[in-house]
Amino acid sequence: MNPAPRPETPLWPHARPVAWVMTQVLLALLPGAAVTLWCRGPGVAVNLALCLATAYACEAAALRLRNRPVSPALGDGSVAVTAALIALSLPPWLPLPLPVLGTAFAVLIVKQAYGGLGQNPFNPAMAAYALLLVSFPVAMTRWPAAAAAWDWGAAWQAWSGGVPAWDGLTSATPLGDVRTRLTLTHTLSEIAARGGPVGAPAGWAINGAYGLGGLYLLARGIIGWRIPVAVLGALALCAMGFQAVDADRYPSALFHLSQGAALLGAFFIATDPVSASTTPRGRLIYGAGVGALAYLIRTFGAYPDGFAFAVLLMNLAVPLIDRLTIPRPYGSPRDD
Amino acid sequence: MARIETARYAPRGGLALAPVTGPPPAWREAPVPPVLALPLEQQAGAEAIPCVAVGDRVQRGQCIARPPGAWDAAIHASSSGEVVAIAPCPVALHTVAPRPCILIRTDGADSAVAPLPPCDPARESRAAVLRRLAEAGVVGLGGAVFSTAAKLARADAPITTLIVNAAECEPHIRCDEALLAHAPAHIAAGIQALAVFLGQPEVLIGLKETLDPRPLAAALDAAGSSAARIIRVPARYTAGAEDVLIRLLTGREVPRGALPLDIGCVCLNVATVVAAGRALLAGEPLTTRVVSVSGRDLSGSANLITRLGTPVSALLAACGGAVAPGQRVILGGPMMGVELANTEIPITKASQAVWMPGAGDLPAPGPERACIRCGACVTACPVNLLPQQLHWHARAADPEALTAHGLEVCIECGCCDVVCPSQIPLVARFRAAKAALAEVQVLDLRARWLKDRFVAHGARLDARTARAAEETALRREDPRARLARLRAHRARKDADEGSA
Repeated sequence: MNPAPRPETPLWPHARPVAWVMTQVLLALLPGAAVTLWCRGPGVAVNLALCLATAYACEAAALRLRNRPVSPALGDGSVAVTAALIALSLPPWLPLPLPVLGTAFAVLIVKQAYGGLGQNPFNPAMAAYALLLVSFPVAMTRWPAAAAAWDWGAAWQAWSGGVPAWDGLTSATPLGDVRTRLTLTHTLSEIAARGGPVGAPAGWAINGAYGLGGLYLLARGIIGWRIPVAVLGALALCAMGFQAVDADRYPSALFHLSQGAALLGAFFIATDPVSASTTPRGRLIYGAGVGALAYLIRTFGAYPDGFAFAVLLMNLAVPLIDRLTIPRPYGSPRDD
Repeated sequence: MARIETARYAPRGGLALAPVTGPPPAWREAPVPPVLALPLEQQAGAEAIPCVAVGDRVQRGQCIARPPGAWDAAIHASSSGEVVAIAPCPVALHTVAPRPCILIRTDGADSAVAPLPPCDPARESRAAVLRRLAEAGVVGLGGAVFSTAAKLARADAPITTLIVNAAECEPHIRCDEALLAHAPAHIAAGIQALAVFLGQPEVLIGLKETLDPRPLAAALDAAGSSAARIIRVPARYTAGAEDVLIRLLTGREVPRGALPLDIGCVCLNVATVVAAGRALLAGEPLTTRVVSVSGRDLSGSANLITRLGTPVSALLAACGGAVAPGQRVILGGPMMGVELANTEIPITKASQAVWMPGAGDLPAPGPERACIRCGACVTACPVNLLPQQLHWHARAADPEALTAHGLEVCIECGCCDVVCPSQIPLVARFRAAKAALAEVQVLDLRARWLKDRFVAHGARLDARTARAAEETALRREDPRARLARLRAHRARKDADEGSA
């Protein structure tokens, strides 16, 4: 009689699987996605459809090429989260090949070439966004004006790569608008006197909806508090610091938190566990780095928002952060 | 009045496992089975040597196997009858494997040998008390089955704190709860005796917060141990792990690679305290233990005073449970216990509970997936490790990184395993990695020893070569030069003698 092996795992019900976690993340994205669709028009839905289809096709193809089982990996839902984050970050009036290109890059190069789920050092969605932003700066910064969001004719022309009469249809984002007008030597009080930055209410609505989804994830214990608190805290602190120096040149913390990818970034992008730091202290450092870099890029960089680059830069720092923030194991000397 | 307090130090990690609800389990004696199987190995790391032969008649409390070492625990017949065999039988001790057992066919008379004379720790020598604990077969009844005499004998420095573990944190284990409700006087007497033996250290009783502290407090007052402090600890899994409980109660940590004794603590399970008290004060050897039996398909859960060596099936039968084919039976707590393929396995000193999960109580974990570094395991780890990094380094078999991340600190509690959404069997991996690391360390030691030998050998060879070269040089010296040198030497010597 051979000795019975020790049970591989405790004889107690286990936590819910990765697929459930990913489903919850997708669920939490719904309010933000719905408000984005309402504010930005049908292009959001088109991007979502394109990104999801491309992501699943690329994931299946890559797994097959790598001789890995296809259906379990497709079933875990991680690729759907990546696709949704790409789609929700992109402007709605993009020529149709661009979302496909970005998603294919994210799945094939950033995720699968590094070994698939759990192995990628960079956030795939943000890498895709950065690729598109660097390669197609004009298309990637063309946002519909609030009134033109549901203009199907213009949308149709944009998707097919045509050049409609953009005047009056497009507008800058609030972050871009403020930046442009500040470089034209307007002050923030002048901007406020002329009705504030364009499109700010939409920013409030979208960020608020993502914030709600983020709170849901926190309440269900799917994300920890450290990364979102550190991201938003660093962003707000930077904004408050600069505002204290010159309130006419640097917008308030509230403006920064309510515009651009602030809450989507803090709750859904920076919290991507694979490419973030894993130690408790490391997550605070990582999050603070993302928030501070995003502020600096928004304020002093050439791009309207800085979350993608901030996340990618901090991804680079993760191995170092993880190594320097190993918690003290029980019984180890305290000064170490 | 014994003080009742709440733990001041917060637990780290751990799991709030679903509390087992329902009325307190029944408290009664389990019937003596027709055949008892007493494994010779009922203590961590020591197999006792039988001192009876097949055909011998034995009585309850009679020593049937003597321990190999001075402070190791003896094994006693748990009822009267005839020794029918000494042969390997399947036994659960960390794993289920055949181990030598003494089989006794009971005669139903249950006659007992006369108890040993009381051994009052206030009057007897330290060695006499330790010898009694070993002779009475007292081991840690919280599952670790380390010899209590050996544990206490190791103390070089004085013991400043006696910690009594009544934190009982695994679901379905309620045997300590039963002792607190039904035998508080025995607990108090045991605490009193041990406190006297240890020179009146501070006594801290870590009590699960869902249990009623009042009976124990009253018993402690009655026994004259009113200085003892009852500290209520969270009903959270791993609160009862020795290292974790010490931190919860004292705020101190047992240093890596050290024992609780090294910080002046000795930690004993409440059932061990009772057994030690009975051994010293009543001269009673350890022949029974309390086993919690529970399961949805039983007529009721119970804490059974069980003769050691009783088969698990007899306990289930005593609670109205029939083991149907395919029925799962778990011996020990669900987190640290083992699943039995065969319910004829005997209860040992290590067996705290038998659980018969009902349909749906124990869904099989899903297939293993890749780690997504979510960090759920980090939050759950009670000893502040990074299980996902350990997993990563274990896969890479990187001994330096594993040591830097504190692999040997892991208490194998299984918290990380249960919370892992990728269903990675982390504890099994860590056990394997620990074994591999120990092997690497042995190889390392061996390599260092071989290197030292090699270096020393080289040095000897070099010295010999140098000596030979010197001799050769001397031999090859020009005869005239040699003569001159010798003369010069003689002249110096003469001059020295002359001046003297």
